[in-house]
Amino acid sequence: MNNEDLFYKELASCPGLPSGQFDVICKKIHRRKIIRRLGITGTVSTVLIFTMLMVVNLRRFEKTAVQPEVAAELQIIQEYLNGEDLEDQIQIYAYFEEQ
Amino acid sequence: MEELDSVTLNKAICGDNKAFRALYDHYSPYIWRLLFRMTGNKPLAEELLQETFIRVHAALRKFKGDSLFSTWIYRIAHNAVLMNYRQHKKFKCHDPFEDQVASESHTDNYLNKQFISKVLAELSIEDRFLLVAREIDGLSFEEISLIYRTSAGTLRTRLSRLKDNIRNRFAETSFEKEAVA
Repeated sequence: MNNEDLFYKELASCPGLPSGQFDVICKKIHRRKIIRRLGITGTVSTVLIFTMLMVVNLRRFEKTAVQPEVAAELQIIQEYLNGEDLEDQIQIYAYFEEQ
Repeated sequence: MEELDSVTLNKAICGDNKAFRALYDHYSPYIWRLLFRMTGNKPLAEELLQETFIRVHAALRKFKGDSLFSTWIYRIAHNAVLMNYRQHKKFKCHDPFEDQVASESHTDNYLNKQFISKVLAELSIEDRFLLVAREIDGLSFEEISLIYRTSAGTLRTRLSRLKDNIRNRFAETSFEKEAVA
């Protein structure tokens, strides 16, 4: 038998398959299943909590938000108190005098 | 390589644990030899064997029967090796023969064993896969081409060159021995 033949014989030979591998594989499969389920549960929980917080915040914002009509009145009052509306008033009076 | 009977295979696909055990018992010796020869490292081959069968278990339902089951499982093992190789850039090289094959070795000559081990270690993992899959396990070029995603003709040429290189390598050694004598 020459070296080349021996080479192919050696290539075909290898140590025996270690025992207990199947049990290790089953344990790992089981562990990965648990990790995957925990991951899915965690993700779903996070999404649900985030959505609930968003909804609660949105409702709170709607309750505390000022109505547009009230906001407009408040703006007019503020301008009156700060005297910012004087220029407009003068222009109106000037217009009526011209008339 | 003989295929597992279709009844057991279908049961395994449907999630039957006993059938999966039978599938493991049937294919694991081939996959073990392939992984051991590709990595040359027993602990790593064990780890990759586990990884291969975990992946097989996870993907069993995706097996459509487009190829032989052995081709499919070889591809998973091949990919597991390549992924590990990319992650670690290289394997801890082939361990010396005497530590790993010990009493199972077919050679009587220690120097021959060492030389054969050296030649094996010099091959790329792809070449080792090609050699084991084709020359030892007897997969057809068409089946291997499904794993490599290259044409059967290219693989034929590649294996032919590879075998020529190995032959030349052994011829050189014989020549050196004669010269020394």
